[in-house]
Amino acid sequence: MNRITNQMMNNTMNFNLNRHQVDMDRLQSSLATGRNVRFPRDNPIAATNQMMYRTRLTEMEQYLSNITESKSKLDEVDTAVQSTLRIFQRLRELAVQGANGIYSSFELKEAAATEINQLLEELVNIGNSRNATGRPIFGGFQTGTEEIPNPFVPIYQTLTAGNQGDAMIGVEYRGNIGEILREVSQGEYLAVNIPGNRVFWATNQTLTSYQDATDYTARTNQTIRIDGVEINVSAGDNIDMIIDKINNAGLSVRASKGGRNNLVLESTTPHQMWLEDMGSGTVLQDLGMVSANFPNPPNNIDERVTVGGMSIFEMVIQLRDDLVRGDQELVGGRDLGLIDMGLDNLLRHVSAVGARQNRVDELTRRTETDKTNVTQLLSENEGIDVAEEIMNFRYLESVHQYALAVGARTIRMTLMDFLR
Amino acid sequence: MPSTFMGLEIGKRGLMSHQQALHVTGHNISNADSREYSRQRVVITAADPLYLPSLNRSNTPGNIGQGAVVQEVQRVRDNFIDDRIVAEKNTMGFWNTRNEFIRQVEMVYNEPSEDSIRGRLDDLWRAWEELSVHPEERSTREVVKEKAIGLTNEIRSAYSQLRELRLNANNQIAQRVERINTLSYNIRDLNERILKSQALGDNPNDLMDRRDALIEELSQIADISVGRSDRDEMIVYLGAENLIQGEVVRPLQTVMDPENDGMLRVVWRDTGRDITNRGGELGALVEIRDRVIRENINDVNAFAINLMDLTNEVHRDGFGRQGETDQEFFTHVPVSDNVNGNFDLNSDGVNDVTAIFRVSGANRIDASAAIGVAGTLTFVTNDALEQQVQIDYNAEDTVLSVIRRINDAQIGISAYLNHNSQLGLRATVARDSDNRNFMIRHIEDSGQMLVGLAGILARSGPQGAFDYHRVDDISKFIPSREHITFTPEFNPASYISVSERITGNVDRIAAAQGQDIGGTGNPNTSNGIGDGTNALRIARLRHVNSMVDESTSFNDFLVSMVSRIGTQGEEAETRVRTQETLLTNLTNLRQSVSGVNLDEEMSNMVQFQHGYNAAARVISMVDKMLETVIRMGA
Repeated sequence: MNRITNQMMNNTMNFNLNRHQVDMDRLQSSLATGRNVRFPRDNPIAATNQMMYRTRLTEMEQYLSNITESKSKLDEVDTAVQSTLRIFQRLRELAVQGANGIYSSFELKEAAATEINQLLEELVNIGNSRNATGRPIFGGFQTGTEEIPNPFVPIYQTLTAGNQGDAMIGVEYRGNIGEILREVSQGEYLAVNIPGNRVFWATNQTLTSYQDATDYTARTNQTIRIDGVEINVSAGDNIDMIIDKINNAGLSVRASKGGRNNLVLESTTPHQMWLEDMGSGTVLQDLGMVSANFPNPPNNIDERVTVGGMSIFEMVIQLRDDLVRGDQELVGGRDLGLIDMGLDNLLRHVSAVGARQNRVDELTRRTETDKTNVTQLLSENEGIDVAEEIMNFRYLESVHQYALAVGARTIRMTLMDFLR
Repeated sequence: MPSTFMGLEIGKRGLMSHQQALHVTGHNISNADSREYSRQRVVITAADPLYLPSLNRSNTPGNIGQGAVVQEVQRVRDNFIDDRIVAEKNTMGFWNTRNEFIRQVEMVYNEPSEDSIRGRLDDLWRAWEELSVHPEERSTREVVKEKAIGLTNEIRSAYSQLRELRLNANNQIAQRVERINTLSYNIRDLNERILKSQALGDNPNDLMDRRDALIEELSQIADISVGRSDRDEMIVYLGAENLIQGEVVRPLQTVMDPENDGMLRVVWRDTGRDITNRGGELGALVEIRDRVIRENINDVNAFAINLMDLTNEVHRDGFGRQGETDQEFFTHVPVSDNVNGNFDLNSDGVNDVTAIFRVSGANRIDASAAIGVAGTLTFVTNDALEQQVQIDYNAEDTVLSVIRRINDAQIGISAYLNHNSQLGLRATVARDSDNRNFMIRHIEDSGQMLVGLAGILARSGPQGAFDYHRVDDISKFIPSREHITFTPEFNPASYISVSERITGNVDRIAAAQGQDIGGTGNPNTSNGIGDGTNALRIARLRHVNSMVDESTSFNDFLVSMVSRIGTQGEEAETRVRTQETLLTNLTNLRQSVSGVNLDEEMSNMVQFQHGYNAAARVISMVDKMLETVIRMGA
């Protein structure tokens, strides 16, 4: 441009000064807030990264709090099972003594029965033990309502044998098989409880139906549920196909056909089996396993079914009764064996809980590392390099000063100063 | 033989032309700072010489000069630069306006910070997780309620701010149209005055400057171009049509467009046809209003309705503290008050469509197993054309692959598998008109995929097809009412709220799952108050890719919304900055030609002053000469 006018010089000066001021404003705000993105437009990629990191952080904080809570839940379960173990040590001593004929006199029998009854009460108390917020820990999802405050309900009867007075003759499980899950990492769930029907069970359970199933075929497509796992039965399935489906469902339950072509279910680890006909299905009912008269498992087994296996409570009650009766052979043979089976089961759960506790520790470490990483990423993403920004600011400052100085001199000069 | 007094005359002419030159210089200096002014130059030429080719011409050699005259007062101006500036101002107006509005949309989302929809949503997910940990407690339920209320407030406020912005853009459109009309009439008046003045042989330089300034202002608002080919009639085109032709103006006006939510449409007042204009402030405002903000409003709506529906779908299946089930968590307000979802779309008093947002199949399906049946699904596109789109499936396909194909087809229906592994079909935002948003248009299956397998349609083939143009077409579906969601009332983001039954009693929040006791075919008994698995299922929605096209989660969707507006903002800002530099350069170029340089004027002034003084000296010399002659006779 060969011809320059006063307006042009003025424009150029204003344009440049304004540009510097806009940059200074940006630098000032980023230095004052320590953040490089005020609006998404400042850096859309950094802005969206920040959003994702923040979301991820809140997620991980929640996982960490879930993990901490899981740990305390598992510790509670562990404590309870460990105290059961101690009671079992004492029961075993009593059984060994009983097998050796120590409790022969009436007074000694009475003393033994009283002690066992006390231990039984203690066992039920442990079964009904509560967590920090006052909720039972062994009831599955049944964590205490007004109608069912406890998962284990003892049944008393006055027993004259051994002069026991009101003594326990049975314990009913009113909880359910709910597994309480905690999300401990994205899509990863950890069970923090063991339902009481698994912990407090001494032997494998066997259910033998009375019903001859030779001619049985399922009429419609329906679903049965064993231990909470759904198994689809198709129309036309006969007893063999149903047995096959149950055995292939990955359960700790083995199905087989009894001598009268009847269905036999046997648990392969000590626990009480949970049988349900889903929806309008009637497969288990037709096979003579469950009764339509009692809706709620586990107390829905048909009266005519032969039930084998027992809970820890039933086992202890049996030991007590055998001791009171003075049947040394049964005490030393059957009862002692059952106590050992119960112990095995408890130890299995102790180690399972221990394994979960280890996993929780591992998860805590992993999640904390992840959280540190994300926090670092976030700060790298939204933070500014202070040294660099200050350097930019100083540079801008000097340029601005030059611009002001030069501008002030150029716009002042005019021919008029020299004309008279 | 020249006259004795000729010298006086020549001197006078010199005086007069230099006087005028000095006046023009003064005019230039006075206008040194007017923006629209272009400098003027006096063209002084020699007057026509005294030369009469006749017999009685004096027999002296050469033409006898007659001094100087002012031939014209020229306006120093380059019309090519003007045209460039007109075009660039137009672009500038467009990006400036767009930039301002996008900045405001960015402010609505308030990202990146915790006080945003995303922050509130994260809080809500955390609250659901916390509820799943302590389902027995009332306190965790209160937290879920409060966080959900916080989120709905945030969504509603985002919606109302966007709506405000849209109305603001609409109002500005009306103002811009008013301005275009005012400017056009002003230009027309100037045309008239300039033409009259030119007819008299004058150069109406200042009027032309003013006209150029008005045209520039006009170009900032709308897509105009200037036709200068006809000297007598300057034409201003808007799009391809004449806005101003000499002394004729075709004004614009705005009319309400019922198809577009009562927003204003800009038309020619005489023909009533739409104007064609994409640039300038007006073009930016229309685009901001009908594309950018509308897109954002629809996204917030889609977010709201999907959050509402997906949460409700899982929530209904769960159980509250006292075993309450089938409860909505968020209030769903259907657009139709009819039990069959019939709705009067064209407001003629008669129901004409079946308005359904979502239908979920009655059967549970294994998503990754081969479906074993073949056939063709038929949908229609969600635009005004409603063209048929066919999607084939064969026996080897899995449900997941068919879902992907439906979603990839972009037909306004998104397919997904819900928490019960049932196939769900949901409508998305419509492409033609907002009041068809979230309406399933057409579902047809020639085979058994949607019929026997998924349990959505009762029959195959065209007879069994669902089409929203027919009322009572809900009868084509198998699932019961609770698996069908009606189309929500327009703009669900404006009224999304936590159901009053939940806020009234937080025990109703369904944290537990249930079981089916007594064979009713539907879970009817809670698993117990210690069960938090339903809360966990709701919290899992956070990771479910369930938004719009099935490939994004709720959070991803929000992130992409912000990323889109951020990128648009970044582009607008860059464009504004480039355009500013470009315009500064062009204005400088014009200044270089037309601007007033005071030093130059000063030196000119001195020059003209000298000329004037010299001419005066000539007169006084002639005066002396005449005095000499007169003395001779005395």
